[in-house]
Amino acid sequence: MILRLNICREKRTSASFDPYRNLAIEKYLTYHVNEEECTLFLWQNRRCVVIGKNQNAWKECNISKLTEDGGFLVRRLSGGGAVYHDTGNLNYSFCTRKTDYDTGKQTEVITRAVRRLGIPAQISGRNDILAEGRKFSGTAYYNSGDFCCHHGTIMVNVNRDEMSRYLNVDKEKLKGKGVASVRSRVVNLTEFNRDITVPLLEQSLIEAFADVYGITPGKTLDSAFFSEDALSEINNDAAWLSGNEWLYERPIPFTHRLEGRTASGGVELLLHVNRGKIVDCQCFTDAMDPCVSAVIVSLLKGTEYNKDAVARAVSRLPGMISDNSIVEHIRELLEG
Amino acid sequence: MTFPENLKYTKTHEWIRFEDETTAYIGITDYAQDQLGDLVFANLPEEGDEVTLGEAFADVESVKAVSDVMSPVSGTVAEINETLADEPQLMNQAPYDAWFIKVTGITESEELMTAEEYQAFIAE
Repeated sequence: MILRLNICREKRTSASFDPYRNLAIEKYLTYHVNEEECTLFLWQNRRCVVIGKNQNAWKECNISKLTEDGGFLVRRLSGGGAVYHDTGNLNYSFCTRKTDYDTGKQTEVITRAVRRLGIPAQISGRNDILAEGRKFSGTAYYNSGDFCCHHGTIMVNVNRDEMSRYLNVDKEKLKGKGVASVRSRVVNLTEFNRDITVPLLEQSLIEAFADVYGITPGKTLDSAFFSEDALSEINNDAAWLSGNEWLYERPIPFTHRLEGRTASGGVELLLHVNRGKIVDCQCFTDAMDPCVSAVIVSLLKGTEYNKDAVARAVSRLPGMISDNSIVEHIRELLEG
Repeated sequence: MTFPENLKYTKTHEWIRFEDETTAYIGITDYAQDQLGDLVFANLPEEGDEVTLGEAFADVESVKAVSDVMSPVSGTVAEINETLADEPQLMNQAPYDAWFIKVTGITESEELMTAEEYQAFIAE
């Protein structure tokens, strides 16, 4: 039974919008929660796309566009699909032990908080919260042994144009394993009540948290209250969560098919990717000498799967062939 | 739900089938798959990895939840079940055929339950 409620909320300095640090704080709060305790963490990320633990990053997110615009790709610890975050979005996390974990009660905190602000919230299935049939909140979960985390997003005033800019990827080109996202019709809370702001919603969540559990939460904590050990664990995890190994090198194999026409004929490339590397490659073309396609294959095999590495690899080709357009073309295909 | 007599069970809902004293197959129980719902992905270790008693060696994803799978033994991963990558639904459909890993060189094991004990445990 829950006897103590904690609230954690960072002061909204620029560091508090770092998505990797936020996930690391959440992980710390989850794995250090005491028995009979529930911690509510309220956090916001700067522009980023957050994918599920077992998703293919390239399939879910237009990574080039996102990073060119100064956004970040983030892989969370829980399951499910890709979501876009900006500062118009508020995230919540409930961290408890397994015996005290109650998704029904936790979800009630969210619905109660938004209903109080005039939102006709309804729960849909196990994971979504809707208003008039459109989703404003998605949830996901992770648990290990005795420790559980239930977290979610609440769209207050998210830039929906940007959202579709980064999440729309031509998925036909990428085939492989990994968990696929499900498209939803989404809505911002401000479309129902123009006066809703993130601070107002946070206040309402804190009140609903106390009401649902019938307990007055302790003092609101932020990382200034954390011990040195805690901060060092958080820093290490933030580094790991923002590293290539976690973001790009998970064993979720897929094939990227690139196809197009150059002045001299058609080209089709199949890049077989695993752990962020091109492990195998096939090149079909009528535009050049078959020997050249064998060279392309040998240059690309073992290359990192990103457009810079691929461009570097194919740039070693021109000396070998008379038709430079193929090199340009492969670059262009990857840009798209 | 079924709980074959030839398997041993853990409190964290894994089953283990010993081939001999130091070799075993590990998977998740019928009860576990039923509680988790439709499983869509399994993250398995690699051959040659060490597993440690009481620590997570794999995780599974179901309806947006990622859950760790704990190892009831310490030893070395000799084989992983590659078919789970292509057919994660096997964990739901045939949990006792859908083994995750084969472990060899087992040096220690937690206290395991018989089928009867496990059924009593989950009925609590």
